Amino acid sequence: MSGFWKRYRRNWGAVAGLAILLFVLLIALFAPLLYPVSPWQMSAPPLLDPFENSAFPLGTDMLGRDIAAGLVHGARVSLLVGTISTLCAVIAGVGIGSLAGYFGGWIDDVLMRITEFFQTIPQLAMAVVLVAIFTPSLVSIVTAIALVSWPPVARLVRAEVLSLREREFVEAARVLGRPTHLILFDEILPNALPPVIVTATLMIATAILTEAALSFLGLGDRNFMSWGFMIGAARSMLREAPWLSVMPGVAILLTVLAINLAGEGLNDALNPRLRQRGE
Amino acid sequence: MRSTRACGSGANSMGGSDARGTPLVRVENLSIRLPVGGDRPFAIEGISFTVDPGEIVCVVGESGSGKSVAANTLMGLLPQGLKISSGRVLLGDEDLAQASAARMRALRGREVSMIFQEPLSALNPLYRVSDQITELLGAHGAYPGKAGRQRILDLFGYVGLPEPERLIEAYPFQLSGGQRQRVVIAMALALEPKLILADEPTTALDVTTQAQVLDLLRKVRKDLGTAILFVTHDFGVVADIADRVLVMEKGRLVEAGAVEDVLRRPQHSYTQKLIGAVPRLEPLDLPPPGDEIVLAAEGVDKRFGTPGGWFRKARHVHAVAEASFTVRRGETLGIIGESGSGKSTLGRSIVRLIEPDAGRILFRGRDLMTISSGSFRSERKHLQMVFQDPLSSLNPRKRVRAILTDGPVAHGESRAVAEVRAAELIRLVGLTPAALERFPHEFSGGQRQRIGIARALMMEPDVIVADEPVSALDVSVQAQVLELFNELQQRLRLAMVFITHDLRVAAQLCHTVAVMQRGRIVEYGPTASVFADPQHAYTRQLFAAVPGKAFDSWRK
Repeated sequence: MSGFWKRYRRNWGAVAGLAILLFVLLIALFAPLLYPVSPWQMSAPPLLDPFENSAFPLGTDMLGRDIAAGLVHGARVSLLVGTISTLCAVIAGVGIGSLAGYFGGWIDDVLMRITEFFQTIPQLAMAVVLVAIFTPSLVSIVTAIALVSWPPVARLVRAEVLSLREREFVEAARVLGRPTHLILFDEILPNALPPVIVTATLMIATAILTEAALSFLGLGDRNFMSWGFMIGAARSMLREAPWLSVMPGVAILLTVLAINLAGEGLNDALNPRLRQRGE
Repeated sequence: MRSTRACGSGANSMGGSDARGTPLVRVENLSIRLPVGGDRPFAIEGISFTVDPGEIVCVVGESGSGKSVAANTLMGLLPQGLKISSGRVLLGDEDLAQASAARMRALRGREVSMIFQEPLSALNPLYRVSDQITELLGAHGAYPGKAGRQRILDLFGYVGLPEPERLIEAYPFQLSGGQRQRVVIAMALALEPKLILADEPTTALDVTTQAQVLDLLRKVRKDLGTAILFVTHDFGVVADIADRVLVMEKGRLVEAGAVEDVLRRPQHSYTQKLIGAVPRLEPLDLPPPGDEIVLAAEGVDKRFGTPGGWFRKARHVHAVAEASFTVRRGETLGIIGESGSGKSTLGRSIVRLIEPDAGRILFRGRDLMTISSGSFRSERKHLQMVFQDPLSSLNPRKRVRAILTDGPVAHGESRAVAEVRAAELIRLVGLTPAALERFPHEFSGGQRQRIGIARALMMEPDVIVADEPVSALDVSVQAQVLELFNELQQRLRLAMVFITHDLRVAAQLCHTVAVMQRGRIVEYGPTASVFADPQHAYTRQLFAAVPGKAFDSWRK
């Protein structure tokens, strides 16, 4: 573990990413303490400029809602949607990919055709359709994002399992008489996980972007303030009050960037051999 | 015979050049530093040697001895992170250690060329083999236009490739391993360099092909007067081809001299150890096996094939054809063959990693083939396997403790009981119980193979199938592991099926041998009589190709 951290630390970008990510996480955790009032509340005169009023450091929007409160509460939605939908997608992808890769034959054929079916439809278009059908809510958004993002995980895990199952230690486990489920989940999968973890990190970033896009299109959950909604709501004021769009935009940019940097650092730290070749 | 020998004392000039004209290559006090954090400060340290024109010099050593680094330096092909820290590498009067990249490019191929270990990866799979030689000729502006094609045809003819006119159009994948290595040699010869570096050029080849390639290299030296610096780990090959030998240990040159002197009367203790570890070609006297037949195969047959489709023809390979044998308690059967002979398929069929198409495998008289694979799982523990690659056969994410105990636990034993036995067995195979807490990558190759053996023994099997268990190991480690196998068999009265390509290894361990060729057992009998008087033409061919027979007669 200490070796892992040592390798991770060598990539300063990854460390910066992790720091930003921790900052966003803390803000999201303590949002109710920082801004106990609902971010939807019209609490001040509309269109206050940033830094104009110290009570509303980032200003207010056209309805007088506090931008800072919106950003802080929006962080909760972004991170929540990002992690939970990714978690669901990874579980589905690992399950489907490992079954397809290990058993091969018709099981592989059936599972991979299903995977390809999902992969051929543009992700965002499908997410939009799914959320529209289920009526927008956090649950439907998470489900929709998970449904459109598992196929790459399945393909990745399948490829890993395909190559790992030919390794001699898997044959050794079969000769020892270990049951199939243990061979798959105890011998093969732990060796297939590092690239999956890295992919999952990057998927969180994509999920955050998808959620923002959905909210921008008005398909967000109206019970929760989100960055995408803020941009969408402010787009008519782009000329008069650009900061209304810029602030949540920067928040998305920073968070996604941070996750990508951390993911890349994770990749280097988990695959030390690849790293050395680059140096 | 040249016999300028000196040993031991640090930076010394070994194999001096006096009275022999000017040497072609003079390496003087060469040191190459390893990156900080390596297992030793220098990849090679203070080595000096010479190579004369037309001389074949072998560099011998175990893995990690720095022998390949020493050869690659002459080609300017040091791995990243390695730099020459002191010393000179003189080719004629030119110091290659100081040469620019452009100068090295001009020298490579024209003055010095290289033959690599693995001909498949040395050739670009996307280009015709002739294109790759044409590229080399073009880079040096030699044999322009039509002359290039003629040159390649001549070279192909010279290195003994059949039908040069046809092979000139071939892609690497269409050639056999031996043919590929001939192409690589043809490429190395294209501009008639003065020196060829050959880095384990026969290690990836079968023994009969190896003998042909060694013949070819000898012919090259005789016809063209090319000097060859030949890196190898195999003393048999050294005895067959070398004029002079350099022995390396951990980056130092420990002994150098004429081949017969070094092999007959090694001075340095490391050389003595290495040479002593090379198994002899005569069968060892082994304790006689028992009477009970533990394992029998009857007419085992396996075909591999891809079914035909719209765009491809059906292909079938008869991997094992009606193989039959018996193994008694305490007996070792050696299955000997070259790559593609079906020996591994037969071994894997015994433990049912592969389902044979026909035939019976009788374990203590019970036919394992008629048992369903579900109920076979409980029979599995009696039949265990030791694998070839000790690294890939151990799960890198598990501690040795789990690797050893997972098997018994799967058969219903309690983890605590299994752990007690794991601690006993880890001692039996020559490791300390502390090894149980470590991961596979923390061990050396030989230690890993010991863990692989302990894992098989954990199941208290009656039969062990060992698939080339020592071929990935250095010769001194190989000797220890072979000894372990012998000792365990005597103690536990195991029946063993030992798959190997190496007749020397078989001689150390096997009561009976079965020689396989293209899926068929062509000769089967007691080791002593097969070795003394091989009956089948193929067996005789195998024996004729074993390298280092002169070496064996020197050792008597």
